Order: sequence, then C-alpha cells, then structure tokens
Amino acid sequence: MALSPRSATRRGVATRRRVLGAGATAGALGLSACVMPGSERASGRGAGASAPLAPDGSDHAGTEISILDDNTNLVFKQGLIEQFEAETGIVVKNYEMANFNDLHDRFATAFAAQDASIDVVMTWAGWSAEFGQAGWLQELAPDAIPEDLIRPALDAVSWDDTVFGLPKFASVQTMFWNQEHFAEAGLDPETVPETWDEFVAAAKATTVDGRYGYCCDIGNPAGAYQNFLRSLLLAGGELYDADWIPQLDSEAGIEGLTKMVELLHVHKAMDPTSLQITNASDLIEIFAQGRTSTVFNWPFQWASAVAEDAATSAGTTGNGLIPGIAVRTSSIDGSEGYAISTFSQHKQAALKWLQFAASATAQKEIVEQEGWLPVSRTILEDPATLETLPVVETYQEATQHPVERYGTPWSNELDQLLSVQIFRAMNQEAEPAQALQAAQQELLPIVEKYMG
Amino acid sequence: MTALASPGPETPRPETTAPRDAGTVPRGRRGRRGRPRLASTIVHRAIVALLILYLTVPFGWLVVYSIYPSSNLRSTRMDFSLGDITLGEYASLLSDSSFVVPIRNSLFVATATTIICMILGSLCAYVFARFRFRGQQTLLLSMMAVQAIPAVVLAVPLFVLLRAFGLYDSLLGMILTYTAFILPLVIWMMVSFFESIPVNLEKAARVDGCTRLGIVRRVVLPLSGPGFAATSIFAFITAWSDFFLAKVLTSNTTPLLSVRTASFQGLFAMDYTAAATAGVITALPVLVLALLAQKWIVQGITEGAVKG
Repeated sequence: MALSPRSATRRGVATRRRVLGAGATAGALGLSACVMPGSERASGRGAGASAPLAPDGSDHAGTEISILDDNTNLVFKQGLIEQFEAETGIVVKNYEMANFNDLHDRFATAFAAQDASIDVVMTWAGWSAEFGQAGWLQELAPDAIPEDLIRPALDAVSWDDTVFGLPKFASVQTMFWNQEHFAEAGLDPETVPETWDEFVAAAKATTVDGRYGYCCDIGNPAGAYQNFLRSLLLAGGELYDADWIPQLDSEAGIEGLTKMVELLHVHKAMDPTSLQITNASDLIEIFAQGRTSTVFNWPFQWASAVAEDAATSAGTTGNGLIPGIAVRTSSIDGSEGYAISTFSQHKQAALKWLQFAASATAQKEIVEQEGWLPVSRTILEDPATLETLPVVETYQEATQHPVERYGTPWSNELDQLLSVQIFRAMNQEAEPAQALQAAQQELLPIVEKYMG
Repeated sequence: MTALASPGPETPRPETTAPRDAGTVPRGRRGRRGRPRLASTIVHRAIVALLILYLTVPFGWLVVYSIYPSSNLRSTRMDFSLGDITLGEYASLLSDSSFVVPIRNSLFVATATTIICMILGSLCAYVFARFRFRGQQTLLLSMMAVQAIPAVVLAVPLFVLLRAFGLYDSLLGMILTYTAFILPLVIWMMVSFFESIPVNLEKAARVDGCTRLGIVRRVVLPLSGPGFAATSIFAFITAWSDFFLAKVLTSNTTPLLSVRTASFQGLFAMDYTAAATAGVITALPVLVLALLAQKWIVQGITEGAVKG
C-alpha cells in the first residue's frame, strides 16, 4: 500500500517512538534486575542458596581458588598459603588483602552480580548475618565444621542457627591495667577490680593531672555500639529477646549507659578524648604509652603493651576479666572468619581452605605471629599457647561468661542510629533513658523490615 | 537612543567625573561617609579571611600531620617543634611502588578520561549549541537524568558489564566508566560556552571558506578556551578523585590512588601520618592544575554563569 510522504513520516516517528520506548523499558528492567538483589535472595536463602556443603572426601588437587581477605592477618601471605598448597595440592590463584572498610561494598557488588570469580571471602558476625540471610554465603553442613571450635568464634560465622563459614581467629575484649599506675595510687597492682564500684574507685584513684584512669574508643558508630553493648552485658542485659525484639532501653541498657556517662561526667575518670578515638589501635597506643591506666580492649593490646618501645611491659601490664555491673563479667566478641561465596564454582576446594585456616597449623601461627586468640579449644588449652600469649588464660575464663556480638543483617544501621543517641547521652544532651528510648523506636521498624 | 546610551567622542565629560576638590566637601560629612565604608570593608575582609581559614585549615592540618611524627601530635600536649619537621613520609611513600603505581594509574585514567570527554563532549556540545533538531532538549535533559542516578545504583550493572567484556579491574574499564559518567556534564558545560560565542563570527569564517569542522577548530575552540580549560579541569578532578567506583570496579591488581589512600585506615589501625601524606599528594595535582589555570577557570565559570 502506498503511503503519502506525510503519513510515512508520521509512521516513521511513531515507529521511532515505539523503538525508543521499548528500549527505555528494556533498559529500566535490565537495570532493576541487575541492581536489586531479588526479593527471593533478600528475604533469605533464596536464589543463590544451595544445600549445606559437606566435605565430599575427594582430592581437589589442581583446583584453583581465589580469596578476598581483609588486611588483619599477614600470616597467610607469609607462608600459610604455601603450606596449604603443599598439603592439599589446591592452588590459591589469587589472594587479595583489601582494606576492611572497602570490603563490604566490594562484596555486596560482586554478590549482587552473582560473580563467580571469588571463592572465599572474609567475614565477621555482621556480614555473616547480612550476606548469609541474603543467600550469598554457602551454608555449611555439620560434618564440615570442626568439633572443637569455641562458641563465640563460631557465632561470628553464623546467623540464625546456620553456620556460613569457619572462624580464622578469636577475639574477646578483656581488661588491661597499668600496674605501675595502680601502685602509685596506693592500689594493689596485682589485684584486678572485680566489681564496677571497685573499678570506678581504681579509675578515680589513678586519674591524676593530665592522665585519666580509663579510656575507650566511642569515636565512631562501630565503637559507640561496642562500648554500649559491653556496658549492657555487664549490667546483665541482652540486646534482643528471643523474638529479636531489641532491648536497647531495657533497665540493663539504661544502667550500662548511665555508668558510662557517670564515668565521664560524675567521676571524671574517663578520658574525654574517648569520644574522639575511632579505633582500637589508637586505644592500644594510648595505653602502651602510659597515657591511661585502664582499657577494655582486644587481645592484641598485649603485644603492643610489651613491645620494646612501649612505656609498659609484661611486668607492668595486668590482664583480667572486665568488672561487671550486675554480673561478675561479660564481654564482646570480635572474631573473624572465612565463608564461601554461593556463586563459587570450587566450593569443595574453598571448604578445604576454611578448614585449613581453622586447623592447628594455621592457628598456632596466628597466635604466635600476631597475638590473636585461637578458635579451637585444643590450641587454646595447649600450654605452648599460654606461654606465647598470657592473655589466653583470661580469655578462657571470659568464655565461661556471656560473650556476645549480636551480628545481624541490620548491624550497620544499628551502629549508625545508636551512635547518635550514645553521643547525645555522653554529651549530656539527653538522659540515657531518653536517648535509648529514641534509639529503640528507630530500631524497631528496621528489625521488622528484616525479620518480617 | 544610541546617542543617549553611549556618548560619542564629542560628548563633553560630565562634571561629576572631574577631580573633586577635597576642600569643597565638609569634613564632618566626609567622615560620616568614610566610617561606614571603612567598617564595611573591615567586615567584608574579616568574612573573607574567615572563609579562607575555614577552607584552608583542614588542608593545612593535613599538611601538618604529614610532616610531623605522629607521636608529636597525638599526645595530650602537641609538640610543634620546628626541628621535628620531616619529609620522611613523603620520601617513603614516593619510593614505595605500592603507592607510586596507583599514582601512575590514576594519572593515566584521569588524563585519558579528560581527553576523551573533551574531544567527544566538545563535538557533541557544538551540535547542541548550533543545530536545531527533533528531540534536542529531551536528549540534553535525558543526559542529565543519567547524572541523577547515584553511582551506587549503577555499580552492579557496571560490574556485570565490565566483567562480561573482560574489562573489570582494568585501566581501560575505568576510563570507559568515568567517560560515561563525566561526558554528559562536559557536554552541558560546553554547550553554554559555545552559545556565548557570536554566530556571526562563524558565518564570517564560513564566507571565508571554512568547513564546519574548520570553524570548530579555528574559531570556536580558541574562543571558548576558558570554558574548555574549566571543563577539562572539572573532568580531570572528577575522574581523579572518584573513590566509590574505583573501590568496587578494581582490585589490588589495578589500584587507583583514592582507594590506596583510603587503605591507610584499617579495621584495627590507622596510619595517620601516611594517610595525611597520601592525602596531600592526592590533592597536589588538582591544586597545581587549579593554580595554573586559575584565570581561565574564573573566566570560564563566569561566562557560563552569565550565558547559562
């Protein structure tokens, strides 16, 4: 049929519009498909999830795996990878140590893109929960998990009773005190304060001109969360009830935060710079330089405190359980581990790596070379470990008491909203109860969003 | 009207422009006028000084952190002894290949992105500025709409695309990515610069036998020099300082400077001196560029502002 030039033009324009419209729609759909993790996956154990991984007992020599780790442990690059390759015949094609702060976004992007190039990823309690629930981490079967793992370390790679990885080192906060400062203040340098009142008395006694008896790291959201959680646990509380209802404004929560505020403003024994200190490393340095008398910190505080250039030494550094408020003690966990990407094509070989990292060979190196705590009870109870790392004794005691981290898919959101309220309370802009009630109200819908 | 608006050569000089006899103005009156002017100047300069302080102190503090040993600044009483100043960290970083390689990579990526964006962007912008065609405004607006999509949302599609084409963790991949992000803005900026050039000049060149491309090369680009410089620097800075896309689209194999600089802050530790030194080194190329092209940038920005 012949068309007039005008109608042909009109038809051409209409066709172009249709093509453009279809293109735009296809683009939008494609974009959405790529960007959104997918409701199935986001709601847990969805598209990416598969049956729990158990060892198949076969030889995987020659298989190549890629590992994306944070930069906490150097021992793997400094010999353990070679040992692993020699023992298993598996080739570590790529072992990348990236900055911890960059990893979350890299993992989230790679997982959302269903990228199969990474087999093993570093994880901790928060990410095990977040990525595990999203279906991006491979669930492990019971027979893939060594029997002698310490519970808090295993918690760091688990979420909702599902194990998504194996721990590579354990870490629990304990109390370190400067025995010289204690002696100068007329306190027994060998006796650790057992109750909060005893601790406050010691902190006040050791606070002298230009130096405070206690210092902590509340300067960023993660630090604020950790310090609050520890206080809540010391006051005998729990962060969630059995149904995952937050308990931020519980009696224990309010009491714990009140004790922190009092330490700063009433007893004036907490270094005010605690509100600016953003990482454990700074806290370690302050203690090792003798600029504070007491800290509650991770085990690698010990290595710095006894280092040659430190003002403290093994003979002047005390280590013990953190004094409780309503309980004898409790602490927070900071263990890390490895997990297998759901999209990995070499899951059996990756599992071998996870098991190797938790094995005696790797654990001994981590204890001896880096001062982290072992994840297996066998190594923990080995006399050689105690000789290398005296804080192990305190750790063993600490694990008899509540040690929690409450890693959840909403950990990051909780850190952000809680830190705002913690700062308000610490700066006396709000009463602890008022601040925690506000945080509780903000957190409730977030938990609801994730847990349904 | 013209005569009224612009006095000719014969127009007598208005009396008001004649040198004023200081003696004819009463002392008191002049003093009353002078004082508010002086006060206004003082306030104005104080505000400018405060603004300069506000803008430069963070960078100055970064420099201080980079030249003093960490122990001097992190004790209760800071020690600014001149004898303690050291450039050791600069020497250390600039001799460390794990830092020099990212500098080289970032320089290459930012420069290549700028060149590509300026060539393609100028040609596209010229078309938008001088031709009228169906869907012109829609196309321009849709380019800006793309800019409105946050990079975080595009990270996954970009990751998939780069992986599919074997460009993940490669310099070429980053150049293409940045070009896609920066090109629309370059076009937008250059359009306003090109529109500020009188069309008559191009018509004259046409009469003289210049081709369209010749006009662009011989007339339009030289006249839009300030705009071209301002836009180039904008493109360079954007590609140079990006952190998020560099973080998710590269690994240790092809490190870029922004990611390397951020890596001095770890989970349990922060190397303040190295981080500050890296920060200063990262800022230097941008500062040097801005200083070199200061005149053009100001001219370019004001031209764009008036014509936009």
